[in-house]
Amino acid sequence: MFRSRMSIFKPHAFILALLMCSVNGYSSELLVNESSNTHEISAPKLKSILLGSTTAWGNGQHIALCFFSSDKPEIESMVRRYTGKNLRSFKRHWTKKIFSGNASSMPLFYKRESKAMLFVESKDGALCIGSPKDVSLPKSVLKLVIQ
Amino acid sequence: MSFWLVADSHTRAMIKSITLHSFGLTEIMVSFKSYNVFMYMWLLFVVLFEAVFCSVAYAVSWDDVTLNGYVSAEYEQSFGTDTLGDVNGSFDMDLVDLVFNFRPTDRLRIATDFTWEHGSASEDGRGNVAIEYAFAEYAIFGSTKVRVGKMFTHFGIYNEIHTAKPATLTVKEPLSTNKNNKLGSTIRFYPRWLNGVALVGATTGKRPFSYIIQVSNGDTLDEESNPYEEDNNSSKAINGRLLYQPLDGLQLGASYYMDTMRDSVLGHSVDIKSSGIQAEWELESGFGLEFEYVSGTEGYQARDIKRDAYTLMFYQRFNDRYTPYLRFETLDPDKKMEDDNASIIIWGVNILIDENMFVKLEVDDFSSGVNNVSLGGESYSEFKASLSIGF
Repeated sequence: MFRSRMSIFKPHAFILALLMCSVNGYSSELLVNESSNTHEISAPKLKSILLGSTTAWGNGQHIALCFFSSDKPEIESMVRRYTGKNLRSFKRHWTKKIFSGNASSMPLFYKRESKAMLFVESKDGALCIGSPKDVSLPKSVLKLVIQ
Repeated sequence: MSFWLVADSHTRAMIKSITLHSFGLTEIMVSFKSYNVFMYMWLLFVVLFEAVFCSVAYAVSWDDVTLNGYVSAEYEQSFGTDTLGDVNGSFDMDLVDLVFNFRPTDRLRIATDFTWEHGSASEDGRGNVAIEYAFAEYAIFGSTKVRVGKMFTHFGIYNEIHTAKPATLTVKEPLSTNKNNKLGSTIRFYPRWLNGVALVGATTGKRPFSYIIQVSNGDTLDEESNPYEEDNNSSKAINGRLLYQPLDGLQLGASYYMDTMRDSVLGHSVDIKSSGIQAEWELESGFGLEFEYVSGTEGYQARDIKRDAYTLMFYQRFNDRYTPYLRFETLDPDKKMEDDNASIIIWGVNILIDENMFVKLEVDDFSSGVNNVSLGGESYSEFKASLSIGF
C-alpha cells in the first residue's frame, strides 16, 4: 500500500524541495492528493490558495486545505511567510470567509499527524501543510515543490 | 436524500447494485410477457424502489457537505438615560446560526445560512427566523464564478458578517456605516440582502485583488412587496466591490450601490446611491486598524438628501488572547441640516477563551445633535457583554 518516498518522487524535485525549505528557514512541507495533478506551485498561487481566493487546481479539482497542527511554529512561519498574517489573523480571515458565504469550508487543523495524512490521502484535491515525522508517504500523496 | 446521506458506502453500493439488477430483471420479465401476480408485485416493488431511492443519484454525500455555525448571547444595559437603549438591562439570546455548503461537483456550490434570532418562537410571534443567504455558485473559469440567489449586499467591511459575531472584535457592527437607520437616517446606505445574480472573481498575483458585481431586485419601501420573490419596479439594483491588497496585512477596498426603491402602497420612489472606501491593516505586532467611509444620496422628488458616515477602529492583540479596541463612529444623516449628527465611541476588550470562543466586554458612549431623529440630542452610555462561539 505504501511506497518509499524516493520511488514516488523525482530526486531533483525532492532535493529542490529540501533546498527551498532550508533557504526559507522552516521545515513545513506541502503534501497534496495526487488527484490535483499538480507537482509545482508558485508562491503567489500558494498565497491565493491559503487565503481562499483560488479554490480549484488547474484540472478543476476543488482544493481542500488542512494543516498538521495549529500550534507548531513551522505552521505559523509558513502562514506568515505566504500570507503576511499571523495564525490568529489567518483563522479570523477564514472565519469571515465562511460566515459571509465566500468559502465552502475552513482549513482543517489536525493535531494528530495520522489523521491529517489520512485526510490528504483520501480526500480528492486535498492540500496539507505540515512536517510529517513518517518519512514514507502514501501512494496517493505527492509532495509539492514551491517554485 | 436524507437516507443517502446517512447510509454508509457499502449500503450505497448495495442499493445501486440492487437497482441495476431490478432494471435488468424487469426488462427480461416484461419481454416474456408473463403477466402473473409475482410480476406485478415485482414491478410494484421496482417502481416504489425507484421512486424512493433513484432520486439519490443526485444526492450529495456527506464528504461534500460542510456544516459551520455560530452562537451568540448578549447582555446590554444603558445608563445616563431613561428612554434610550436597554434601560432595564437584558439578556439577549442573540442568535444561533447554521451555515451549510453543498458541493455536488467541483464547479458547483450551494451555500445557505439559516438563522434563529432572539429565542425564536413562532407560536408566540417572538424573535426572527431567516435565510441570510441561499445561492448557487458555479465556477465558469479559473477563479471566476457566477452566483444566483439571495445574497448579502457586498458593500464595505461588515455587512456580510454583521451576524457572525465570532468574526468581529466588537459586540455589534458599526451603526453609522452599516445600520444608519438606527442612528438618524430614514433609509440605509444599502440593504442587508439582495436577490439576483453576481459575478465574483480574484487574481492570483503577488498583489491580488478580488471583485464582485451584483445585479438584483434591490429593496422596497413598503412591507407588502417581497423583493426576494418579485420586484415592485423595473429598475434593477447594481452594486459592486473591489478589494486590493497592496501590502501583506493591508487591504483596501471600494464599494458602490445604486437602486430605485418604490413604495407600492403610496406610489412614490426614492433613488439610492451610495459609495464607500475601506481599509483594513494589521501589523505583525498585532496592532491593527479598520476604517470605512460611506457617502450617498436619498433622491426624492422634492430634493436630494446627502449623507455620509465613517467608522475608525484601532486594536492591539496581546498573546492572541486579549484584544482591546477603540472605535469611533459618526453619521451625518442630512448634510444640509444643522445639529443632526450622531456619534458613538466604543471602548472594550475581546477575550479569546477557547478556540473560536470569545467574550466581549465594552461600553458604547452615544451622543447626538438636537435634530437627530433617533437620539434627539441625548447622550448616554450602554454596557454590552457577549459570548460568541463559532464552529
